[in-house]
Amino acid sequence: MNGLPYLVAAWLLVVGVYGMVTSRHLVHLVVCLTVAQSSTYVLLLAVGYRDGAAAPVFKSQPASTPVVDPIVQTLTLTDVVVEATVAALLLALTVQVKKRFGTVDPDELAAMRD
Amino acid sequence: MTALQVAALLLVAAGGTAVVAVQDPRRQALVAGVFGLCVAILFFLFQAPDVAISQIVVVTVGLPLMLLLTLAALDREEE
Amino acid sequence: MSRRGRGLLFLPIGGMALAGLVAACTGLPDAGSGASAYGRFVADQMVDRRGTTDVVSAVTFDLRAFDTLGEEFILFAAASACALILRVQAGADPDTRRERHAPAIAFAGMHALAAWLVAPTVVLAAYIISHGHITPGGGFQGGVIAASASLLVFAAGRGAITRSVPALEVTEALGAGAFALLGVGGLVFATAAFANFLGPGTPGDLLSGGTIPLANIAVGIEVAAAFTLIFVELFEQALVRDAR
Repeated sequence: MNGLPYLVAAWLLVVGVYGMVTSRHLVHLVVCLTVAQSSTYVLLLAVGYRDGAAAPVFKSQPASTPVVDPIVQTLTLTDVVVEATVAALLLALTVQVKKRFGTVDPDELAAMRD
Repeated sequence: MTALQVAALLLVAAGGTAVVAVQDPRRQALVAGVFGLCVAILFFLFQAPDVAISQIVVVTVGLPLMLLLTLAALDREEE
Repeated sequence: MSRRGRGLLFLPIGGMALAGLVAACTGLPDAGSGASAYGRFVADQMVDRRGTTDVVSAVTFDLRAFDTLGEEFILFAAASACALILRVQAGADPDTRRERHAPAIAFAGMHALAAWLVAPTVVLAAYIISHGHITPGGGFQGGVIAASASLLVFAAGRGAITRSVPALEVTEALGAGAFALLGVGGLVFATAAFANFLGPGTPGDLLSGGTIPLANIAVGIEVAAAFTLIFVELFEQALVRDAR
């Protein structure tokens, strides 16, 4: 059971990439990318977790209680907000693609190159 | 690894699979919001309240809004 | 290659990738074995050295402020690129009249509820931004909450928010610039970039933590403006119709 977070992170990554590979709609692809990004958050927080420890906020607990790793929380927290912005950029590109090519199906877009 | 954390991890794995399996983008926006909430619950159980607040606000407000607006803009191009 | 062919080709490759990841993860320490020595040091020392009770905030805006600078500028670049991509289309032909397309569902109850919720949301956002160094929260979280307040303004029927794009861009730039200036201030007034050049103060007070509350406010302004800019650009795409 101790390795379960890593298994879940690996599963989410592979499932997200599978969704991106076999997607039929560009917006569906962007959401599958979000799932793949969530796998990194689960992995980071699992690396920093400590059994029986508390949250790294000392407002109502003495400064010597064992806490989980705050460094990985920093990385994850900025990453969550940045992920949404990158998804917004991809969605803007999707709107642009629709204007230029008239379709958002990745298979039809690939065929247009011929 | 408490039982609650194990349950949350399994829920997140199932939610991720569900998000990928739904093909219609409109329905997927809602499922993605619910998946994001499950991940936020997981963050709370892993003693990370800052990250959980971030995840809740971004994934339940920001992401479905952007998805639905993009879908409306794509429909507008259809006309 | 057809979609089905792609899917079938991915399955063995995905299986190998999954097996490889699982094998790699067996080399990691058990989930739950504990923080690294760096994390333990930070958790022990940050409260006294920086005067903040929220250690994650101290790490984000003081110890690893350089990483946060990078992330903030990713956000800035992505919001600007989003605006650029969507704006090129909107102004393509200056002769067309642009009429506002009213939302299909607009009733007084929704307008009233959204209008009533704007002020509490703004107050909540200000609280979370300003108390980021004491309780969980901070600039990133509060900034997104403030952006959702602008969404409520639109839901209240005030579509004029789409005319505020130049102000949003200036605000976003000011927020990003303020954060970068705090880094330069560290160079000028103390030993290194992003060094905390104001005193720590007593932990638990609102005015503690040195430059950390200031960094929170700068990031909050920038994130709120960036997300509002993205929302406004997407609104214009979805709801504003060109009249020929």
